[in-house]
Amino acid sequence: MINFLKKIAVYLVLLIFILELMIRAFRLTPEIPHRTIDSNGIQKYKTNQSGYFSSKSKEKWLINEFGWTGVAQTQNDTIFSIIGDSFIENFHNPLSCHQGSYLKALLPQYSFFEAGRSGMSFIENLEVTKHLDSLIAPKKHFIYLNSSDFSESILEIKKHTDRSQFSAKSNKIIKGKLKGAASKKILYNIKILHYFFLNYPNDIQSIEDIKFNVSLYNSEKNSNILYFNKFFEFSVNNYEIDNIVLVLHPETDNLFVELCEKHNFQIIELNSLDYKSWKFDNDSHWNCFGHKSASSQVYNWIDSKY
Amino acid sequence: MFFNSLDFAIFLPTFFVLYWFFAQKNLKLQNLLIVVASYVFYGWWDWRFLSLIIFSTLVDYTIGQKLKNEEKQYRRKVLLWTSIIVNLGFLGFFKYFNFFLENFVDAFSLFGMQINANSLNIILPVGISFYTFQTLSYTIDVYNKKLEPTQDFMAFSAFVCFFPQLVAGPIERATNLLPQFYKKRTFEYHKAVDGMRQILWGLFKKVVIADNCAEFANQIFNNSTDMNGSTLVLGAIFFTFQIYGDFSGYSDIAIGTSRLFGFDLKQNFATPYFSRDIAEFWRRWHISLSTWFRDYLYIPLGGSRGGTWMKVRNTFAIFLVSGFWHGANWTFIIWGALNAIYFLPLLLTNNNRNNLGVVGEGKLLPSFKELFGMLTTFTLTVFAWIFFRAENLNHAFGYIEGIFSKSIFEIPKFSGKSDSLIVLYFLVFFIFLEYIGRKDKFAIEKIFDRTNRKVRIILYLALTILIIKYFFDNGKASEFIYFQF
Repeated sequence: MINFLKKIAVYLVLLIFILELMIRAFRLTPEIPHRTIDSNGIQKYKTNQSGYFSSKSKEKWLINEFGWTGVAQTQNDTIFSIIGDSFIENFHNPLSCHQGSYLKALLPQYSFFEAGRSGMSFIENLEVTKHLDSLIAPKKHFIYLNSSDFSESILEIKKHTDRSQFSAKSNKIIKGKLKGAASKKILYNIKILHYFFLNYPNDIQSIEDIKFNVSLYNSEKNSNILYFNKFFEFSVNNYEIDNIVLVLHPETDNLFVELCEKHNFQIIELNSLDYKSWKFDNDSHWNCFGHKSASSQVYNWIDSKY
Repeated sequence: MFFNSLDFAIFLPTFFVLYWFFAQKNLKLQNLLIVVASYVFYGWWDWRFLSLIIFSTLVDYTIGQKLKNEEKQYRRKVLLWTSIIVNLGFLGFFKYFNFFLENFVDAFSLFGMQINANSLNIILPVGISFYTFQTLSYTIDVYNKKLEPTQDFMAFSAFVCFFPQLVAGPIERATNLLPQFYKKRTFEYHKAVDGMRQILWGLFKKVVIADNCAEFANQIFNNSTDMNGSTLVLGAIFFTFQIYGDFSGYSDIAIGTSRLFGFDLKQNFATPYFSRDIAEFWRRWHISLSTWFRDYLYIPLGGSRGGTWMKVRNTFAIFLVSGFWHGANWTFIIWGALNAIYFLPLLLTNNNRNNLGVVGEGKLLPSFKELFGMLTTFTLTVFAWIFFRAENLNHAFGYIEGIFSKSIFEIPKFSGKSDSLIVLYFLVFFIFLEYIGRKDKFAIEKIFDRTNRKVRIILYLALTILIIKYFFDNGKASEFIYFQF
């Protein structure tokens, strides 16, 4: 028996070792940068990190000196910031398919500064605008949003301890904390664990599915309308909304479009005749075509105003 | 609980530790542990249906006891028929009630009589066809005095619900399995290693071969009206390997798991797709069911001892019942009838026992005659599987009509065709290993056993890695086809 168990153990160790090597060699798990929270309470990435997002990535992502991924141009007098969640972080595409790259190509006289982090909610986006105002003083902030970014901003709708949220009851921002930093470090460094974690078979909807499942909160939106109104009032009173343009993804819930308009936010409603063509086959994020299409609509807006 | 699930990956080592470290010295405790573990294993799916297994166990144990003390023949018959009616009654209700009801209504409507009868929303208890036949074999053997009725209720309960083969076989005979519960099992290194090897091979068949073939077979069968003839042929071939990988994979895992705990189950598949005629195929495919029908139906009906008419009748009886056993659908009955038609010429010309050994016996490759026989048998089998897989008869006939059209000469066309190439490579590798190990109980039983230990370990590692890759790629454990039968 002991001999049998010993051999099984040796076999398993050998198997784990080989799997770890294979997962690394074929880049079967995404390389994810480590996060930090700066002195302003902004959750961003530790600088000078790089890695491949997937086995199909031809280009490494790189975290710049400001703690963000992507384009960080500051050379021109006029700078526009581009703020958002994983769509702006954009690990899925090469740097040439970022909003900043497309817009710079169309408007070479301006600089574009991207600040994106996956999971960033609307209220965090607004906090970033304050931070960037003191850092690079952009002429305008373009905040890219979809329906879930609004509801994720409000603590009373669903609590997310890992990101900053607005508490409608106390009328203040509850700062997010880094969740399981030590365990994430282990998870991201031991690739076999990360692989099993990502591919764990279950019937529970993935986070991505839930994120884009508008119907999930549709049923609750009427009961949440008070929270949304309070949130918008707070935003209007605490941020320079004249300098902010909200870029709303195609298929954003009308409720949020109306709320933005009601509270005098400048908005760009992105249009798409075939929104499916904007996205990857197995991922709701935009592909290069989606980013190019979105940037051309933002370009039209800038072009008409400046 | 599926064998190809993380639940089972936790369940099995836990049971292994409890069984060998805490119950090793005590037979009763070993059997009790098997019963509890088996009920947990079954209840994981739906605990309510445990009551059926427990009831069936109680009925057959009690009838066995009564048969022991009963000498009067007509009373013995009553006891036997009580067991048959109770067991087949449950099976009939859960599996066939709606089928008979719908066909009854259809038959009356043919004569212009409209009958209003609502079918019931009945859940088919997993494995009912398997454990029903297993308990029946006990009562019939006791009735025929081939087996002493057991006095050990715990051993009998463990025999009925033994988790490795509870839900999809192999269907064990009481004469083989029950006595194994009377003896205390002790750990045997070689048996356990052999068991692990067979589990590995079973998982490879299920996760890598069957599940990958299923993806394309499902796509082609579900959209058969839009597919050209050559694609439909490919779909039928994918299903042929899907069902083999799925079911024989389950059997391998069941047999391997049993060996881990000191039990020997009977071989259920013996490389059936290398058969040179249909009779050989049926000696190699789902052996535990074929032999069950042979011993408890074919032989009592007179077997092949009578005249031509009796041979024809009995052959059709065994194949039609076998088809119907698989499910309450005319497609299964036609599948059974088709196999009877394939088989009969061999039986009537006394050529049904021509190929008793393995193909290419003592040689590296089969002869041309053997190869021709293999290809013919394989083609006939693939054709019959179309009925087995089709949703209904219209679907099956439409599928066959699609094959026998001009479009059979076109290039196969379906989405994911390039991905299917890798599956074809796996199939070639799989067929190669099966051919190498065709004399053994399972393909990798003795592969490189004495020649090259390093190559053997590399092979095991490669199989394990493929299983892990496809298990996680699929996103969830897929059900075994035979769970529904």
